[in-house]
Amino acid sequence: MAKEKGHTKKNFLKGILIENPLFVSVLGTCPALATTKTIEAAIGMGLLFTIVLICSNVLVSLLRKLIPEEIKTPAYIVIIATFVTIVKMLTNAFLPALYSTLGVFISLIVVNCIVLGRAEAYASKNGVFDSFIDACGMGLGYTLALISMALFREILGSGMITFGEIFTFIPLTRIPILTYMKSDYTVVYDYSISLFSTPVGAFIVFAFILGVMAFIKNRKNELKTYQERQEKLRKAAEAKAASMQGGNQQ
Amino acid sequence: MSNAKKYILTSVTLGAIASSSALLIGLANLITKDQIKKNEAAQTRAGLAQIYGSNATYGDAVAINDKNYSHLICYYPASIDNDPVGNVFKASGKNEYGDITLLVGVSTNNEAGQIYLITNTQSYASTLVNNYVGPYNNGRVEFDDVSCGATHGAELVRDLVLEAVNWSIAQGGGN
Repeated sequence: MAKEKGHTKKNFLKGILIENPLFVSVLGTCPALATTKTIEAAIGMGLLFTIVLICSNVLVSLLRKLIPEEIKTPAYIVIIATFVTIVKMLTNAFLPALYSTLGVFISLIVVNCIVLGRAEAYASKNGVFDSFIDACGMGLGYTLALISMALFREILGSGMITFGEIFTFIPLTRIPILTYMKSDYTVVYDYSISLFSTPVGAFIVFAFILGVMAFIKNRKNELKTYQERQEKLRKAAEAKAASMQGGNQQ
Repeated sequence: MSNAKKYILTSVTLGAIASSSALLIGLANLITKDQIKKNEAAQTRAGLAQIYGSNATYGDAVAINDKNYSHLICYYPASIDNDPVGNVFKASGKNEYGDITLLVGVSTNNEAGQIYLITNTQSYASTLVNNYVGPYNNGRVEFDDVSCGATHGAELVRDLVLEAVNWSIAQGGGN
């Protein structure tokens, strides 16, 4: 039972850190570059993506023994496209601002390689509960990755963080960081760099984050190698000491 | 398993999945279609107010069913203080980058006025708004200057507006 609990936790967390779809597997980069101009858009994209991923993973897992091998991929595509269409309709009806902000990128979730990848690689080989947990982890990991990119881009690109423009059910709030505004939103100074609101800025931020991730990974590997080498040296010294002691006793 | 049996099983499975998908999408459409229509109507009202200002009044929508102007959906006669100022056309079109539905004012002397995008699912949606539609509405770029970083979207907008202007000319004036 304890092992099962640990397995579920590991299954969930792997999508957030060790196998993060965006920063580790470098999948789903197209919407990540296009929809991370603002934090709200990133949250919206992440949310829609997670819903589609959870629904498709669960259904693929449920039908995994019924779908013949020959039509696996077309069947998965039909399932994913169905959920994307439904999510698109619901967004258009109930979150029209998010629908118009994300535009064609909602439809493009159909061809997002993370969704098809998880269906093929995980859901088609595992049970419903495990597939659900896997989708939750991957969805959350992707959403957090989008938010982290959007955080850099929105602050640097517009000088402030805005809430309530896309999710219109929350009051419009602007938090100035690189700008100073009066109460009537008149800008007094503005140190933002609009380049970060453009696709070029998205590439720069993405490259920076990947660079930081690579740096941390390399440092970890170096530390591991150093510790292994120290361990070997310690063992060799111990063995030498033991052999010398044995020689003295003789 | 014989080949015939395998083929039948494969097609039945795929057919069942496709049918279930169609059923689910149909159900979603049933739930959302009224709300989507309401949203579109609200957006059209908001757009009309931006074309000739909030003091303008608009008549009911008049449908356009002319095959030569297939992108035009309808027009709203606009007037200020009971003086006709032109029509606001609703037009819709698509290209390989997405869909656009817009409102455009055409004055009584057949000049294109303000543009309001009702739906814009172009992949360069914000570029189109920031570099073409916005500057055009503010009088900072010419109508034909479509080189904006979202050229295909701008060309679509231009073509829709030109269709409205041409229809207006063909009718012998804005009203």
